Amino acid sequence: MSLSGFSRIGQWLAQEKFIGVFADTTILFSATYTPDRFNEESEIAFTELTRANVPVFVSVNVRAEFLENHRRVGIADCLVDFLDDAQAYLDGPLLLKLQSHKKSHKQKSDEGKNTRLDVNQIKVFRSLLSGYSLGKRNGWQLLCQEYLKPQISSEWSNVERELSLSFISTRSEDRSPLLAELPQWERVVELIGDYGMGSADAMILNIFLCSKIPALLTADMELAEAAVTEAKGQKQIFVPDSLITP
Amino acid sequence: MSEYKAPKKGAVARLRELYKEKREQKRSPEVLEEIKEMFKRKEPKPVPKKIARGDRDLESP
Repeated sequence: MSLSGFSRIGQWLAQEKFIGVFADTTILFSATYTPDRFNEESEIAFTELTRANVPVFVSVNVRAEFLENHRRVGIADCLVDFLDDAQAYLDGPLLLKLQSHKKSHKQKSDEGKNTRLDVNQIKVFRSLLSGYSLGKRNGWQLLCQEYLKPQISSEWSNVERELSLSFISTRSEDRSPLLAELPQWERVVELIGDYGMGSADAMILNIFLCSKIPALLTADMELAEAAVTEAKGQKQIFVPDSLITP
Repeated sequence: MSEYKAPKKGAVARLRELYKEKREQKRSPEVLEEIKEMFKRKEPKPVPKKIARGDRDLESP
């Protein structure tokens, strides 16, 4: 088996002792963001790993992308909170934009869809909020410092602690025993070219393929399919069952 | 490989609790007052069209 659902992890782990599994950003995000559609399925995966005493490995690229995802979903959540606090004092385009966002946010949340804002949407709110200021900070800085920062500041440390995450170092001077070969930038470019994936995904996949880690956990089906193709049957890829079960 | 540890028992359940705590956080009275003063029926200052430092989309090659 090369591609399986999380429900098969226990069966796979029972075969022999494995050095660990590699987790990509999406599964870590699912575990830390309760409204995520794969939150409960991520629990299945990590519970099996706990039971089998199998560690989880990540790369620094995973951490960067994880924080970026939490930034985007965090800003979306915080704008709703901000509207609830500030509505009585708002007017004009900012009020209209926030009300529209709140409605859209609720609708997506009710439908189990991703509520993350894209960079352009964030820029619009940054521009609108920056137009207001009091003393030394403007509205955008207030939103970030009083709403976003408390939410995001401990996200990585929490998941790193609870899942006991270990990093695979890719620095040539470290010569990690977990690497079968040193990742090369050229392969990252090939992955981007062959699959059209983003550079973050390409770097994560490249490190996994260069490692001795036998399995990847991901909630990204496109990444999973590319991993299956590139691994040529030598590694196991696990995704939420809901992604592969009709 | 004993230096590497498995996920803690109940990890995802605990992460859910942490998420819930964070979402229930409220702003202090001082911050709410600052919001009131900052936004109370004020005309926003014109913002320059070009933002000096935009966000870099990590997913863009």
